[in-house]
Amino acid sequence: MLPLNDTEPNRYSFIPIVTVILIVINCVVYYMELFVVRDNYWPFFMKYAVTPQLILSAQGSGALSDITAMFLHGGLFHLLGNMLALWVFGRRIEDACGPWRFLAFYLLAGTWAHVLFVLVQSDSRIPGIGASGAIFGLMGAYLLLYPGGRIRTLIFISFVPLWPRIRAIWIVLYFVGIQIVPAIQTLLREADYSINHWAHLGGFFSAVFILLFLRPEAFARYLSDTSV
Amino acid sequence: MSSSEVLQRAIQAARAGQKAEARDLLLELVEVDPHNEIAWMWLSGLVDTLEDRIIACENVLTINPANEKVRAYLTDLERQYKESLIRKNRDDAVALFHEAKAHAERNDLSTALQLTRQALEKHLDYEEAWLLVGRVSTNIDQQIAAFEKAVELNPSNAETASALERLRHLKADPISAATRLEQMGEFDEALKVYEELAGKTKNSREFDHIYKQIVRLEGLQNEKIRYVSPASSIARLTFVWPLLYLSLALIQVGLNPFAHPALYLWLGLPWVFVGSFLLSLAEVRSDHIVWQKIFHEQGDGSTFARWVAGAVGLLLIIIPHVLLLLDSINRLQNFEIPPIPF
Repeated sequence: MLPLNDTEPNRYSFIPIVTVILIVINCVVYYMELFVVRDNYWPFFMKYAVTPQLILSAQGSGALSDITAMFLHGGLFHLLGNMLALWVFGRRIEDACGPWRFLAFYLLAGTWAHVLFVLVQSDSRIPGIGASGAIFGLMGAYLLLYPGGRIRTLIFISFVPLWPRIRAIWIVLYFVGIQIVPAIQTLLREADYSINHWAHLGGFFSAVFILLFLRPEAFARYLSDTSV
Repeated sequence: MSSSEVLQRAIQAARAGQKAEARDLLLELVEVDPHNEIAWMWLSGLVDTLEDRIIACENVLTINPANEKVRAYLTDLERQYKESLIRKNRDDAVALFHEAKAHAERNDLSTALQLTRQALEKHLDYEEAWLLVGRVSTNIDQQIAAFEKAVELNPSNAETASALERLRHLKADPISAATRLEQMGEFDEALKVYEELAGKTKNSREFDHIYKQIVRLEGLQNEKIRYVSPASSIARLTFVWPLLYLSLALIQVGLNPFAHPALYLWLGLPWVFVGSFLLSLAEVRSDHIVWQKIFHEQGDGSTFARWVAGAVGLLLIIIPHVLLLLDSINRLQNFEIPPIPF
């Protein structure tokens, strides 16, 4: 299942400028990872990714690594998947919040993703990277603000590609649902995953703050039970 | 009977308390002898109405301008007459005003305005009538004039003064005033301003903007969007940046402010709060003490004041964040990279 596009138009603004800028920055940073950092990944990640042990012992770059980790990716598909999701779910959230508050919410979701990751895997020395925590925050916010929204999604049924408009609630529940079992396994130390499921859940739950970030009209619409 | 006999009989009748008979005799007498000063003098005390008494006194003075007693009496009568006239006019004005108010409540504004104007013709210092003119008139100049008169009559009425202030602002900058009306939840008023503007504007770009606003506002009305007060919006938006700063600061101190105390980080929090408040204030239009105390401006602040508040707010938010990141960079410089654990 691959979300492709939110088919609903924007209400307040035409260009999701911050979403676009975030995508560009992520791509540029990935390019730098590939061609500037090259084989020096370990020291680079120790400095700029979120490592629970380092965060809890107040070593390393702390808040700086919290932000930089959101722009680092471990591979092309990691980057593409996240950027596609950022575009799909971020555009209308930015529209509802306005660019500056959207940026604040994106960073907040990423931060809370890291907080949960650090708290649950407190003894881990494996650095966590990726925008997915923040993007799960956007997915949670999307679920709260546009529960009836529909997303054009690529699915394969018996190798046949289809791209129906699926209700966002099913897509978000699917992506959150597939985090739960691995997250519990990680907690019980039954398995070790390279994917940071607790960060995804942390980001997702940070969506409860989205109402603080909405522009006044969008907030009034939310309270009036009408389309934000 | 001679004139003097008729006069004597009339005087006797008047003294005996037979006023009607005395008056009739005197009226007959002045018809025959219109220059009889005594007859007119007695008549001035016997006729029923103030107007007739005045006429009688005037006739006495025409015959004998040196009669000072009657002149003084006439002055007193004229004063009484004026007072009664004012009382009558006030009573009429109150009746007309109540009728106008009833029409206004039935949304028959033109009749209400007409009746209120009639009431004001009878009683010019009628404050409530001026207020009603201000409310029912569709012409902004008339509204301003009416509220100015009401404020002149009762300067202590803060509500009227505020309405006048709003109307003046509305006249000076109608688009901004309409936006403010919308922020205050007065969608009908805002729509009225936009519709008036749409009728006046000759600039096609401005017309497009106004038209979009009209469509949007009508949409809000049709969708029955709830009114959220600007004060609650400002309060809500004020928490945005402090929440982010607090989260970053927590990460910086290893999620445990007691194990890794860093007082300077927490000192940034009030700055971010103030900055976030100013930024919210600049975005949400509302009457606020900040505009009066700092910028000495009434209402919701000028564009300049809002820009300044926004810029200062942004600066107050950015500085603690930058200091926080500088602290991170500083820590990074003293950081020894641990060996690979696998």
